[in-house]
Amino acid sequence: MYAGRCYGYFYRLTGDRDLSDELLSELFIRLVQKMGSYKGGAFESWLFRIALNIFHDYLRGKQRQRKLLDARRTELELESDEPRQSDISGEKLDKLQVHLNRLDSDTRELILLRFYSELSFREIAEMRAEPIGTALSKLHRGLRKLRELMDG
Amino acid sequence: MEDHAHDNLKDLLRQFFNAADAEMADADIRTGERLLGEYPAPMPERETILRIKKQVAATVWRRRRIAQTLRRSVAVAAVVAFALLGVLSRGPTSRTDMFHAAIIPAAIWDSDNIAAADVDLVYFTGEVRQIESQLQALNAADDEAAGVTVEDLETELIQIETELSKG
Repeated sequence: MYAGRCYGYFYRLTGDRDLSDELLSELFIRLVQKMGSYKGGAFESWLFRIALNIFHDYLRGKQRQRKLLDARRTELELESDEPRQSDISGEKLDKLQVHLNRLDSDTRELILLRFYSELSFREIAEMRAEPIGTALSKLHRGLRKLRELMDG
Repeated sequence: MEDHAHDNLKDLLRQFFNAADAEMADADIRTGERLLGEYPAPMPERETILRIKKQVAATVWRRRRIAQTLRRSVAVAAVVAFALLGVLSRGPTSRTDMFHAAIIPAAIWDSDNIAAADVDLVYFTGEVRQIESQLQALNAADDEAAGVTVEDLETELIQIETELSKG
């Protein structure tokens, strides 16, 4: 159950199955390593906090490697224009991925965190260290823009 | 996945928006999240899950080995310490002469992380501390009586170490 949700989260953040495989693998290994630091409470919150950190580590690593993040974005857009055979729902998936990639990265991250983690806004706001009103407002604007893009 | 049972979205929105805006934001958010649900992300492939399971198993195995090595080191250090204590207790000793604690690495005894990571180690540490305090009490008491009991305690410590090694 968690593997599917975390994989979906990574996939929607990156648009890349191979990379999502790697990030998922890293997530589970880090879970084992950090199990001692789990103090109880919402497991999802702990799990997705680690997932978010892993994604940020990935981004930082990419930035260090001669600003490959920008190249990655371009690559994602190019990939998204051509439906991948391995995607389970073909063109539909690519359409959502293309439009998700048009949102700013912070909003995209927030939308996907909310959707895949199933955490409450309070938990999400706490995790992102921002006021709950800000998170709500960003999510609202982001989802409305996404719908407009999808409709257009 | 759009039904976040623990959120009352409308109530939450009303804390930040006026009634009309809250209604609109609620509708937009629900529609947007439904849209995401209509485009499911792919699931990880079976091979990926199997590979991850292997990697996790390898990680667990490595951690277990480290914990076992650590336990053995602690046990050996403890046995050496108590053996030394036994020798010391036979001579004329006072509380201020006892330097046995320095033989057991303080970092191992005091590390909360190590204890939290291993239940056996917590149990073992507790036992050893209990014996240690008994020893100190005995050293302060009659030398002859204490000499016999110290040996008993050393035996007990070795038994604990043996039990842990089995586990």
